[in-house]
Amino acid sequence: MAIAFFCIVSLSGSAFAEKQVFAPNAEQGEWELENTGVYDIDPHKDKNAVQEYHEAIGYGVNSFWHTELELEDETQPTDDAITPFRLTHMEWENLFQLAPKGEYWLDPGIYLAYEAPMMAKQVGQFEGKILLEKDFQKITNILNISFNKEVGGGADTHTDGGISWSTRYRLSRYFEPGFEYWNDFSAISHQLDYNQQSHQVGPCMYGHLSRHINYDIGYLFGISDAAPRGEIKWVLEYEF
Amino acid sequence: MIVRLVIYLVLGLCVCFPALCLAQAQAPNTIVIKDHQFIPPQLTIPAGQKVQITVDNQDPTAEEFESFDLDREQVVEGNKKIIVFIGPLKPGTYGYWADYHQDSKGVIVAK
Repeated sequence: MAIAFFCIVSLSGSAFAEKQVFAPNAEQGEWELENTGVYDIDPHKDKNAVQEYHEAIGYGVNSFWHTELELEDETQPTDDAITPFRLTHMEWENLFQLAPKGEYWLDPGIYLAYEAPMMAKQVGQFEGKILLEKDFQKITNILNISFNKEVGGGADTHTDGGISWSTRYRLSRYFEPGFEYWNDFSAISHQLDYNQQSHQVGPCMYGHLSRHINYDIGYLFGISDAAPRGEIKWVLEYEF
Repeated sequence: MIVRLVIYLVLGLCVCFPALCLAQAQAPNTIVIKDHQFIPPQLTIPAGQKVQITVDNQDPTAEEFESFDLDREQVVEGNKKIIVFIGPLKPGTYGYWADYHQDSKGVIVAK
C-alpha cells in the first residue's frame, strides 16, 4: 500500500522545483551564483540516495524584480543501481517583491517560474508561489504557497500544490538557527490523505559565511509515509 | 490552465491579505549619504511605532543601506532616494552600514 502511495506522489510530480523557502525580497543590481541541493535518506531502495541539484545565476533587475536562470540535474535509484546524473530541466525564475519590506503588516511577493525539459519524454511546468514574510523583532517567519502545473504533450492534467514554512532567529549575521516545514499535497484535486502527502520538518541554519557568501542548510525528517525518512538540503549563494 | 494558475495566485493573495493595511506614516526622517558617509550618523526615532525613513543618496554612485539589526538591505541609486520602513522597535540602538563602503556606519536609536 505504501509503495502505491509513493507511486501516486512520484507520478504526479512535486509541487516544488527546489528546496528553498523564498523571502519576498529583490536586491537591485545584485548578481548571484547559487547552488541548491537535496540528498534523500530512506530504508526503501526506491527512495534512498535520490539527489537533485540546481545551479543558477540570478540578477536583481530593479528593486522589485529578481530573475534567475537555472539548470537542474538529478539522479534516481533504480532496481539495479543509481542512475548517473542527468540534466533534466532548465528553469527561468522570477521573483517579484510587491511592496517595500516593512511597509505592510505582511511582506508580500510573487514567484513565477517555467521549467523547460532537457530530456526526451519529459514535460515542462509552470510554477507559481505566493511569498509572505513577517518579522517579530528578531524572529523571521516566511510562508510560501506553491502551485505547479505541467505543460506539453503527456502532461498531467492536475495542478499540484504545497506549502513551505521557515522560521529563523536572527542571532547573528553569521548564524541564524531555525526550522522548516514542507508539505507537498501533490494534486490539489485528489485531496490525498496525510500519509499520501509528503510532510517534512526539521532544523535549519542560515547566515553569511562572509560578506558575499550566504548559506541555508538543514535536515528534514519525513513525518508521513510519502516523504523520505530524512533529507539533507542546502542552498549556497555567492552575491556580487 | 495558465489562467487557472494565475487565478489561484490572485485568489490566494486576496485570501491572505485582508489583514494588510497601510502603515500609519510618521513624519519623515531623513538620512543623507554624501561622500559615502551617513548624515546624521545617529538618528533618533520613537520606539513602538512604525517609522518611515528617507535615505537620500547625494553621491553619484549607488550605495546599499544594510542593517542586520533592522533586517533591511536596500540599494539606493546615485542621486536617488528610497523609503525604508522600520519598526515598531523596542527601545535600543540599531546599527546599519553602507554595504559598498563598509567603513561607513550609523545608528538608529529608538526611544
